[in-house]
Amino acid sequence: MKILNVTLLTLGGILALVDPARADVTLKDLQVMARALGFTEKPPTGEVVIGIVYAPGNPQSAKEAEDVQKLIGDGLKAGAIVLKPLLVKIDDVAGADVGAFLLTEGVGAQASALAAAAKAKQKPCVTVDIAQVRSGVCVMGVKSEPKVEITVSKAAAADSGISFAASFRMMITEL
Amino acid sequence: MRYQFLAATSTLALTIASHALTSDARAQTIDYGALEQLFGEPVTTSATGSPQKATEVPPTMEIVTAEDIRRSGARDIPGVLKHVTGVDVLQWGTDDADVGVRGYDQAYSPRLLVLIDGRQVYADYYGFTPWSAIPVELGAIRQIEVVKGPNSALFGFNAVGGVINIVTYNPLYDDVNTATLLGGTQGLAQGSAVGTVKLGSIGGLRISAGGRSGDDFSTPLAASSLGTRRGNNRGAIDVDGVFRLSDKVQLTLEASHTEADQTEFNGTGTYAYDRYGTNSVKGQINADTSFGALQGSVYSNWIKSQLFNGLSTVPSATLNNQVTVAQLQDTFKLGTDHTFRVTTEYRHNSMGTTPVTGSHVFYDVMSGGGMWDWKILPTLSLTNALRLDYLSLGRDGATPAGFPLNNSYWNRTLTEPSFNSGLVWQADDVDTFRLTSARGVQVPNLIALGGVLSPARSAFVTGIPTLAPTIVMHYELGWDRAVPALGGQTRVNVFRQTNDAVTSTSHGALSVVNGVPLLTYLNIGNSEANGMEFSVKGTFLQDWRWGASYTPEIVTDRFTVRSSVSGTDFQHTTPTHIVKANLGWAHGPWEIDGYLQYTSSFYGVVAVPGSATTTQLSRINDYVSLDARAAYKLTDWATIALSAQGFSQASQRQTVGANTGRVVYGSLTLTF
Repeated sequence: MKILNVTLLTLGGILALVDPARADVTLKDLQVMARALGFTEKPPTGEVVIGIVYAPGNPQSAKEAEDVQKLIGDGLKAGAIVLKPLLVKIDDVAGADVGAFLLTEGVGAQASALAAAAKAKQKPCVTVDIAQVRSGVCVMGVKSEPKVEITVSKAAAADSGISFAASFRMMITEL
Repeated sequence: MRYQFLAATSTLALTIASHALTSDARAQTIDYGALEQLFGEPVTTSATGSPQKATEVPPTMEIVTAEDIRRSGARDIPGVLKHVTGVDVLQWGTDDADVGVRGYDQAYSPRLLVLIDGRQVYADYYGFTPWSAIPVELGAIRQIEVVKGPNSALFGFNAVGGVINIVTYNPLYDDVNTATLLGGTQGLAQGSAVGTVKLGSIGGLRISAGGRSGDDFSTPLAASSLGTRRGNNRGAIDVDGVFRLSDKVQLTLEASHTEADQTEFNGTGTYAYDRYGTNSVKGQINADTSFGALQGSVYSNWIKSQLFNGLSTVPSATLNNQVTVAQLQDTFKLGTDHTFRVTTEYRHNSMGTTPVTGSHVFYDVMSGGGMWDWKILPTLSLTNALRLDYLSLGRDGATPAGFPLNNSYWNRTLTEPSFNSGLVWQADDVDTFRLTSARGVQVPNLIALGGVLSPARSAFVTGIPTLAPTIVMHYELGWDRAVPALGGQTRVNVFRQTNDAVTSTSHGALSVVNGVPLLTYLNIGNSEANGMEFSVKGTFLQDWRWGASYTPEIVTDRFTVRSSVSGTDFQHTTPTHIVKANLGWAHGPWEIDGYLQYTSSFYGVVAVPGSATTTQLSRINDYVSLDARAAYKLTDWATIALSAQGFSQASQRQTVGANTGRVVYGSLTLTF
């Protein structure tokens, strides 16, 4: 019984140390996005230009875009692909020549333009802003801390002509 | 009947493959490595049949990674498993060990289902696992999945104490080339190699092989076991090919062969020398189609065991067992919140009677089942699995003169349901709660059903077909909490398990049938277990990792037959307290790990000297055992290591058998 009490007290002390926290877009988020794209029906390989979509009028969005660009640097390898960054203003998404879009937070209602571009170009949109997945603008949202969680909009995926491996679908949240 | 079923299954599998080859199927089969890298944690299919992250499975599960295996310093699988929380290992000899999950461990432990990539590898005639005779090398293993508690609804009979699924590297995705040479005390010499050949876009082939020879412990043996230490040897080869029939369809072909000789402790409470030979072949098709992830597989296992008692050079029994299994399953998602798995299975299991030969005891099992995983909320899921097994028992061939049972006694059927239910609630980013219940079915093994038939002077020693299956009910509440500050997690589980109609361990019970005395197995009553598991693990200062667990458990037997007759006692043979701890450091080319285990006193069942059928309990005092490994990476492709198992004492009483001895060995591992 004494051993049990000591164990419970120790565990109680340990459990009190919890401090979950997360940043905006992290390197780990980007790695998860890149690897997740490998589970699409036609997975990209090699260099993939990812269009970092931001709203120039929104400082938060613009800063996040620059931060993401810095994180990717000259190229970020994850899985079978190497991400290459390209800053894309939200007003310019229709003309952007990219393999995928990454939507920053704070773009707001203008994000509908991205949904239209992704549908027209049949390219996926990824984000850490799960609200943009719920609204159907982006196909996939990722959260990498404290553990990896992926959310996919089936409607957005269908619009963008994206389908995922059956095993992958069973491990994520679909909306 | 069985051929019709096999033919139907094969036809269906071919139809599926044909459809998948021509349809707009969507994706490939499970790539454990890629999914693990994506989600940052091991992925498993052993919990529900569908792929899941380890932290989200309903049952309590431990996943032993390739790194854990390497850093354990173990040279065989029981040596790896003994460090796992809730796993009990009885080390009877250098090569002989029995593994149990949450107590109920015994010689020839029959409560554990052991699989390699989904193919069962335990010895079906007795339900136990001769670990040296399973065809896998440590270097070929990606992870070992330990499911605690019954999982019959997914895997069928025998999965009542737990399931150990050994997942190997997939030669299609993984390129593993390694060789290990090992030598040490007890005259130990061991070699193991794993090679992968990529066949371009067609597929991949993995060949793994290993050999081992050595002496057993030199600690004293009981008089009844003298002569059983004749040297332990093992040789194994496994060829595993995965071929891409299309972007969506894969064909897996596997064949294996092992030979193993070892001194081992058996259900009668004495040592014998056992010589094993096993063979297996397996074919499997995986396809991702518009109607789900389909899998069809057929495999056959053959095992031959020759048992030598004492100094005898003539086997006292030769056991031949063949099991053939055909499985078909479809796992699919409906809507956004519902994942289903439907499965059907056929199994034929047969053994020749021994030592009176010329007849067979066999059964056919047809099974159907389903699993429904309902994501009620993003943070709440409910999983239910149900399976129905229909078993048809039979016997052919002659019976010896005077034997009171004819073959018609074996014309029996058995229909048993099993289920697993689990509610998983991820309360927040760090807390996960699990509530599970299960019904598992343990069918009496073929020996208990009459596979052993020996005319003795006073009675026939045999099994009987009227034994009832053991029904295991299990209830569990678990709480996992990630602790980022520790770089790890804590886990607390509370469980209760009941076992109805437990079957005795050996042929000790006397019954009279038609006026003829029989020494048989019997259903001896009920047993229940109540226990808890506390575990914590973490990392610190980048280079350090640690873990600790405490598993109190109390087993209460309500048996109607004395253990001296049945050879069965779980109440006294399950340790009440087990504490495990490990500490490891890795920096640059160095890896150093230490493992400690404290086991409170318990008893074991051992033969009464001079008696072939009567057993007694013998006490094992509490003990602490220590294992350690130190490794140095010479180059990117060469690592040397020194391992010591049980190094604190030259001789230690850990079981009711012979004392264990200190084992020390060095190894050189080359990676290409």
